[in-house]
Amino acid sequence: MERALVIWIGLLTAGALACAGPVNSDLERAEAEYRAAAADAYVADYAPTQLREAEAALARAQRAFRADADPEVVDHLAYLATRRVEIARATARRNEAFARVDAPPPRSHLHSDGHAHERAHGDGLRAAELAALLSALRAEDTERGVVVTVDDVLFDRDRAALRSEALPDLSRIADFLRVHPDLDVLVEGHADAAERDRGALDLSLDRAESVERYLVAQGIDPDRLVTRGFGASDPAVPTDSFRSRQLNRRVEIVVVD
Amino acid sequence: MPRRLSLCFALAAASAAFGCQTSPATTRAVAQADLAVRDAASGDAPELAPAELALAREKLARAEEARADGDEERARRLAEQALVDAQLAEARSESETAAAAAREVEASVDALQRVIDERVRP
Repeated sequence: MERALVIWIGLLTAGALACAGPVNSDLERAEAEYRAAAADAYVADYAPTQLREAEAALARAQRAFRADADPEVVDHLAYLATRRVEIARATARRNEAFARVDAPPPRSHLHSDGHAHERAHGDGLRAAELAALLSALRAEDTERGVVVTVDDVLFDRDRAALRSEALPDLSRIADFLRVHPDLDVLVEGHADAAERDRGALDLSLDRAESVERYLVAQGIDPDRLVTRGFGASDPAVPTDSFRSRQLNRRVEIVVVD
Repeated sequence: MPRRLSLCFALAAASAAFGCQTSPATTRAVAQADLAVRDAASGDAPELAPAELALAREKLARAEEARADGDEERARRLAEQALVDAQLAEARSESETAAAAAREVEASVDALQRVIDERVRP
C-alpha cells in the first residue's frame, strides 16, 4: 500500500515536469555562459562588440527554440552562441593586456605599506613613463643592474658616429635620466669581431663616447655617466651572419643598481 | 593548380548535371570559414590554440564534403561552426601573445622600479 503510494507520487511528479515544457540543454548552457560573461564587467569593458555578437547569436538560438525548430538546428545555433561568448572572453583578455602595457594602472594598490596612498599618484606617473620608455627599449634585469639595450643604436662598420635612427630612443633615455637625477648610468660600447680596420677596443669606446656626448648635450650631468669599451669581447648574438655582426656593433646603457 | 581547376570544373559540371547547384549562401559560408581558418593558421594559433584550429579545419573539410555531396544544409552549418571555431582559435592565441608581452614589459618596469625605489629610499 505504502509502496504503491510512493510510485503514484513519482508518476505525478514526472507528469508535472513534462508539463513545464521541453528543454534544450545546449541552449541552457549557452544562456548560462552568456549571463556569466555579460555580468563580468571585465568582458563588457574590453570586448563590448564581441559581447553584443554573442547576445545576437543567443537571441537567434532562443527564437529558433521558441518557434519549435528542429532540435538539431537549436543545438547548432546554441553552439554558435557558446563559441561567441568564448570569443568575447578571449578578446577581453587580449585587449586588457594591450591596455595594461600602453597605460599601466597606478601601482599603488600593490603596495601594502602605510605609504601606499600618498605614493599612489607619483608611482602611477612613474609607471606610465617607464612603460612608455620600455615600449621602445628593452630593459633586462641583470646582476650588474638594469641593462637597457637600444635596438637602433647600431653603427656603420668601423664608424662610431650615431645614426639618426637612434636619436628618438636616446632622447627618451635622456628624458628618463632628467626625471631621475639620482640614477647613474654606464654607457658601454661594443664592436663586432670583423671590425679590424681600427682597434676594436678603441672603436667600442668611441661609440660609447658618441652616446655620452649626445646625453650631455641633452643636459645630463657628465658626472652621472661612465663610459666603457668592451671591444668585440662580449657579442650580443653569435657572429655568424652580416645581420648578427650589425647587432653586435652597439651601445648598451646600464642603469646602475 | 591546373589539376585542381579541372577538378573544380568536373564538380561544377557534375552538380549542374544533377541539378544541385550550390546556393550562394552556402558558398559564402564556406568561403568565410575558409578565410577565417587561413587567418588563424597564419598567426600563432597553430602553436597556441592547436585544438580549436584543428576542430575548425576538420569542420571546414566536412563542410566541403557535404557541399560536394549536395547536402546544403549540413554544409552551411558545418561552415558556420568552422568559422566560430577558427575565430576562437585566433582570439585565444592572440590573448596568449598579448598577455605574455604584457608580462614581459611589466617585468622590465618592475626591474627599473626596484632600482628607483632603492635610490629614493633614505
